[in-house]
Amino acid sequence: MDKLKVTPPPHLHSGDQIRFVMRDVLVALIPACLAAIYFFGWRALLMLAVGTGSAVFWEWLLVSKEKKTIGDLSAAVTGMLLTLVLPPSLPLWLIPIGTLIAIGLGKLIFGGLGYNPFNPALIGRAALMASWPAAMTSWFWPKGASLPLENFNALTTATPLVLAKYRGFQVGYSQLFWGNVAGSLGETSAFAILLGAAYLIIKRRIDLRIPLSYLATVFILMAIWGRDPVFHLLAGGLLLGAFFMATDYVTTPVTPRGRIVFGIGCGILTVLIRLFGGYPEGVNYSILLMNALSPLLERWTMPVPGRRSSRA
Amino acid sequence: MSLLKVFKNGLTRENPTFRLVLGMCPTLAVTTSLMGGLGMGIATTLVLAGSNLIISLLRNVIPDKIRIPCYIVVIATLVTIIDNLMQAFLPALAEVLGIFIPLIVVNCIILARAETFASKNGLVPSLVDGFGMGLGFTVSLSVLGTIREILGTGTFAQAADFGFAGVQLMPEQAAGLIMILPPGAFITLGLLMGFLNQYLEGKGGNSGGAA
Amino acid sequence: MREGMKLAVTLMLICGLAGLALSFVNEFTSGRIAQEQERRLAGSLSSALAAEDYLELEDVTAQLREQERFADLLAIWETKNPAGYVVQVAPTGYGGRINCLVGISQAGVIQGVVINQHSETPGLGSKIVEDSFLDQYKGNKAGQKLAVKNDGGKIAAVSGATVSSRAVTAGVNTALAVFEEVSK
Repeated sequence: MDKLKVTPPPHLHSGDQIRFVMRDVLVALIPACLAAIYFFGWRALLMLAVGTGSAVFWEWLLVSKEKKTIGDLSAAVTGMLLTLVLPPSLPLWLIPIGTLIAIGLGKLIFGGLGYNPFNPALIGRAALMASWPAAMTSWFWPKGASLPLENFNALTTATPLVLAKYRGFQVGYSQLFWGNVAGSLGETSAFAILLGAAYLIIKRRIDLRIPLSYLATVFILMAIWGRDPVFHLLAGGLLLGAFFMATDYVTTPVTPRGRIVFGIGCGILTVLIRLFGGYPEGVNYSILLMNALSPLLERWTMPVPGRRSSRA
Repeated sequence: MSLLKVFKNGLTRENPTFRLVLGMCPTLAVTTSLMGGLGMGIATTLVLAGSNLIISLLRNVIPDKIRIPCYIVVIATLVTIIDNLMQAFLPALAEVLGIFIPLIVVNCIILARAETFASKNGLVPSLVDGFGMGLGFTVSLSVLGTIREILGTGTFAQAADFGFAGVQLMPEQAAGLIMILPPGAFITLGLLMGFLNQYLEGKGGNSGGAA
Repeated sequence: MREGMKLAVTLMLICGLAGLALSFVNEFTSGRIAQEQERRLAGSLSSALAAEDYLELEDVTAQLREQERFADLLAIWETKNPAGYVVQVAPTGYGGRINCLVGISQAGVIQGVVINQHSETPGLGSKIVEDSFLDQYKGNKAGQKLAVKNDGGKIAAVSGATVSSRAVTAGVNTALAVFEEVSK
């Protein structure tokens, strides 16, 4: 028995496979990046370059010479994802700090890709949020965007979710769908995110169980609570989180049933934070909290050979 | 063990914070600044030396079966006495350390030294052990406090209650609040512990606390 | 059985000795501690509103405290020369109650706010004691409701400590309401 070693999943350490997956994720993020540049200007491109570049640099710097891992492109994905969930007005020098925390404390300190319990990009964002709350919550609306709202100019620092939560005003669907609103670089345009997600689905890179159960849970709970469910699907970072963060192979359960429970858990937490929490948005923390539960969910839902139902 | 060895033991080989990993609650709670860590360290040292002394004195009187309640009574009494004396005679200091003092009772380093050292050793070694351990605790907390204060607020050795503004090492906007929040305590402590262990392993042979 | 008795007696003796030591120390220090606290209160009072004489209005305080909106009220002092009031309130912050004194002149203008005691997060909420934060309240008049910027007001909250800042603001509002009641 002791020769047959069963290591806990996921087993993601076999050469080129990771590289191809990560390359596809980078391709899938291109629409969101283009949308960010379109709505928030060339500064967005600069931020994305700094974010992706610094993440790769930290990975190169912190990993010993013998086993350089920047070739698997995971650092580039982390850097790009992190930048896409930052406010477009964030001071540039904060981005390398965020990627250092994401790559160093979020991933490498646990032993590198495959061993990190939490999504590194979200760790980076959470740390920045706790450290520089003012810079992380100052937003601006794309040029030319407007709302049928009195003294809109005084409210340009509010995202649609903030307006909904504290001012009782709801931004229209089409504006949210195309992304002509205030928010993090890559989260505003539902259209661009769905385009990228479609690419990943066609390439069979993501399993739809998590995003669909996540989105459905938010939709149903918001409807039960008498809020506009479509608005809550389109606003904030939900779509980006559901398709690109909650589908991370390493930090989510591998079992099919575990994934559905993971998605439902994320949905419940997001709704709770959005409706009752101190923040207007809760996608980041929801996914991180469920990341922590992933190993447990896996154990509960792991099929046992010879038994029809699992141990749970 | 020579007295010098007993004294140095608490600083290095059995450093309460980084090697024995005892007294984590005050360690994480008060090290948001150098002064906080230093104040907590000094107050703990006083209690530690006092309780070691008394328990060593009583070590032949206290029956084995009820030693823990006896230790707790001694420690709680000492802490209350120090708290009262401070409030009466050193009000400025009491104001700064006010919230830390009651925390000392629950600091397990004190109970641990009573149990593993003072109850088995004579007066003088116990007193020396108390001061050594206390100094180790103070140094660890000060290091943690310094790192967190610099990264979290940009200042060094700020003590507003004493009217000392400290030295501004970097602009306040550059400071990351997370470092003076609880996660910053865990991150700093974990990294320091990791580096220290790696260093000691590199030195070879000197790993593993004796307690 | 006999061993049990012995244990009980030993523990009792140790507890007795500890009690004796504590009562001795208490006897010795309680007077000084009370004196010290009085001196501190006097210091806080004079930095809230510098005056020659402070007269505590205990009956009024008890009366007002029966109303729910004055639940945070602790004490009121009427001052002489210059005439005015110092109101002590204890709103709930992030780490418990924040004990603050608000000095209000006869005309209803805030003269000073002093935080007497608090247990807010060190390095974050604890910054509410700083002048740069407290001075914002000075000069505001009774009859308005102050609020932090997040809630649409003009008080700049201590960064990262909105809850603490909100609590102090609520305390000041209570004090202003108390003033309106008392000066009627």
